Amino acid sequence: MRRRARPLLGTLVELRAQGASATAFDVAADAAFDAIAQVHASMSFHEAGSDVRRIARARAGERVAVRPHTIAVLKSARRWARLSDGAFDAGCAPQAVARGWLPAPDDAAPPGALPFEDALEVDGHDVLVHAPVWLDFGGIAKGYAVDLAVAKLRRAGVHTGAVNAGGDLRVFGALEETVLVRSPFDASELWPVAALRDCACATSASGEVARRSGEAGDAPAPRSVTVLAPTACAADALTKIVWQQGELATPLLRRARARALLVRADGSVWQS
Amino acid sequence: MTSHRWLTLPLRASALGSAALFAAAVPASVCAATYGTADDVAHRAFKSATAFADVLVAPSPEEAAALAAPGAAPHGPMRTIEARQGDTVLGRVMVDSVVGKFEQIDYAVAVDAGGKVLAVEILAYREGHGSEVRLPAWRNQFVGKTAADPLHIGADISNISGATLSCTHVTDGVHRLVAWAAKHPIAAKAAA
Repeated sequence: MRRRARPLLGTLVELRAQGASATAFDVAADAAFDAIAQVHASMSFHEAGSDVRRIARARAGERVAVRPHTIAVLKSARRWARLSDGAFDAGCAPQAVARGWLPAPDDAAPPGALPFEDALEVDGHDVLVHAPVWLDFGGIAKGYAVDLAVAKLRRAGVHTGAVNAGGDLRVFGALEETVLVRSPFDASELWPVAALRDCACATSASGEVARRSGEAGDAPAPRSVTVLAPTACAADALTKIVWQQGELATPLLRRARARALLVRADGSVWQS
Repeated sequence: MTSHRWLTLPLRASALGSAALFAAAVPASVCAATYGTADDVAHRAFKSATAFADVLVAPSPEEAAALAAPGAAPHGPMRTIEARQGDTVLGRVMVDSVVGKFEQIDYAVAVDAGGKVLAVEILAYREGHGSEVRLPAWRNQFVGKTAADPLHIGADISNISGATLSCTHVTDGVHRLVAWAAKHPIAAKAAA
């Protein structure tokens, strides 16, 4: 197994390949890392020059030209928002800023309350800003980057391998991998939870996702949500949806050919 | 073909709150991964180089303090690799490691002769610094379910989903190394 890792997307991104020559893997890995770096530069809320921050600075009625990756992620985010009746919310950066998870941008006025899918419209390579929005693609861009890296590796001739971006994981080819999830009750403990083959897995743990009150009934708050899905982008987005909706997300999970493992604060576990 | 299955999680509401009851201590270095060497990074970053030279840098007390993370002990000698093409120095690779709350990360930064960053690569990752990493005792159920020895299930970070692994320390370290490199430009022509 060949492997390389770089610090990207605010975490450690690891690429692995089986059966590839050292030279072939190096060329493939360079292409995959370059693609992930592009996603990082386009969609980081921390970088003032990113597309996400340029959209945050835009005034109502403005048209912002963005990179193709940003268009793809925004379209995907809109789709998940629609499918989940708004449980997936890419316009949640203000809440993340309020909690100190993201830095407050000093160059953009606070946005209004309009849902991001109504505030922004995709038109070709442009985003039409109907109302100011602070986008947080934290719930989807990492998964998108993992899928992109897998595509780059495959195109470069790597048929079997894995990509792991800080826990958004996808394995491809003739490889079965056991996935471990950190216990939400004791970070030093690792739980082997699933076996994956040509499949993606994402986990969201408390401290990353804020739950809006009033949803998912009176069940205790989630502490950890893991989703297995065909793509990392879907797994990533669905962890946020299961976090908000709990068992109510079952039809959407089925439709996405995905499965979820939800651990709640009282220690109860739900598996689909 | 896409396939996935849950492994049996023997968790119950009553038991999970004290999940540590299931846990058995395993060696603290259980969570580790090795990715490559600084020489690999140098060869990838400087493909046209004809020679590489190891240069051990002994920082002055002031530099040792500036190279170290805030609050950390002064930086010791630093390994660098100079990449040359004939008698022209193309750039260099600096090797460093940072210690986080639970992990130590060895990494290398390749910069060109002008000090511009060409690549940052992780060389090795070790978890367990300052804390034990444990696998639940019920991991034994996975014996024979993977090709690897069951203890290897947790032997690297490759398959940890949702690892809250921050690379902030690495990013800060890169900034310190780049600042040091800017103050110590390498001569464009190597000494004979």
